[in-house]
Amino acid sequence: MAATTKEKTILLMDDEVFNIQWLIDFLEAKGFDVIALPDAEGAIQEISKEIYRALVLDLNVPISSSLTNGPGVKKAVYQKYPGLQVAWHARNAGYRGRQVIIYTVHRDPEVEHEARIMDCTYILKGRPKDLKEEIMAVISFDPTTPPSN
Amino acid sequence: MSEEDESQYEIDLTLLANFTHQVINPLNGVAGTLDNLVDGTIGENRREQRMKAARAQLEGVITLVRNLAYLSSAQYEAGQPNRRIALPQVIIEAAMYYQEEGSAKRVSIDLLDKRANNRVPGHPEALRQVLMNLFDNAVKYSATDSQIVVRQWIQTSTGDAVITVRNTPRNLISGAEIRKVFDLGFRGENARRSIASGTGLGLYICKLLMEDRLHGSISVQRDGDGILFTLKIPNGEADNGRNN
Repeated sequence: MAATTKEKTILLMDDEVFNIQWLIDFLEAKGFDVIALPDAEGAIQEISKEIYRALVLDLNVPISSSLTNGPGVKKAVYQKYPGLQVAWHARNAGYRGRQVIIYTVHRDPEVEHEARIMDCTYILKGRPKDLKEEIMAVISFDPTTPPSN
Repeated sequence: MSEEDESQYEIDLTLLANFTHQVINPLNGVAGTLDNLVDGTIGENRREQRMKAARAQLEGVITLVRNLAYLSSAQYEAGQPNRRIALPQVIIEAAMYYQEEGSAKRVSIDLLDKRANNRVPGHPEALRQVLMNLFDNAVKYSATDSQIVVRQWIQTSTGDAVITVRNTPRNLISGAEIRKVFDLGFRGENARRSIASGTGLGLYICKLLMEDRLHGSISVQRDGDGILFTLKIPNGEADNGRNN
């Protein structure tokens, strides 16, 4: 597990940033810097460089067909929902499961299954308060900091 | 239920899934903004702007739902129009819906001939829906810091009212794709590379409305680095410079 390197920054990935402006407002009001990215390539590049405090990932985002490495991403559900590939890369780049939140329109048992395997949180769009509560829980402590004895 | 009745109620599940996605996203955005307003996340200085943005999101949803309504009523023959469409008024009304989203993406919609009050017989709601679909696409898929240019005039030789909408897409659109843009469910590479999901319904509805409701036509071509839509509606009435 890698330690958080940018603890005051949260990365959001959504191809329609206009629709998550409310989330940017919320996070900035809590004192965080926000990186909002519209596609999987940009997000994977960013999470390879730093461990941000948390990632909020939409599932249905544009992705280049060249991004297909890794055992998990060969599954059809990863091709259908490129956000899962970003979550997979994050988990393999040192992010803790608790730092990766999948936030999506889709209620899909396969996504739920993969999210469980990766130990990521899976929240459906529709009730923003749910996401706010999860983010507050995540930022209430740094999950990469070892507990003090 | 007979086989004929069943086919009448056949549902396109892919279209429905994409439609659901396109509706929930902006509605979730509105719910988030309202939640922020209620819990005080948004300060007084940004309240008005954020409420306007939420209104724009809702209006976008209404446009999308209306497309579905037009799709479901496509079999009904439109009556002969007995109303007049004031072209600049309808264009400006349609553009206003996309001001907030355009501003956020640094894409402007500019009507160049707004003082020429050209008119045409027809259904203003139908033309507004066509323009809203075109502006919705143009704002979503245009390059940042670009302009959507709208012109309108009456063609002297034919008497047709002509409206053109030109935007600059983020990625060049191929000739092969241009030929398919009015097909139901079609989404081009530029659209898919910009936003992963969409219904592919908007331009299909544009063609349907232009031909069946407005008795005119819609066509598209590449124009340098841009893409140019041309709408034609017969029996235009030129302003004759009264307001020029």
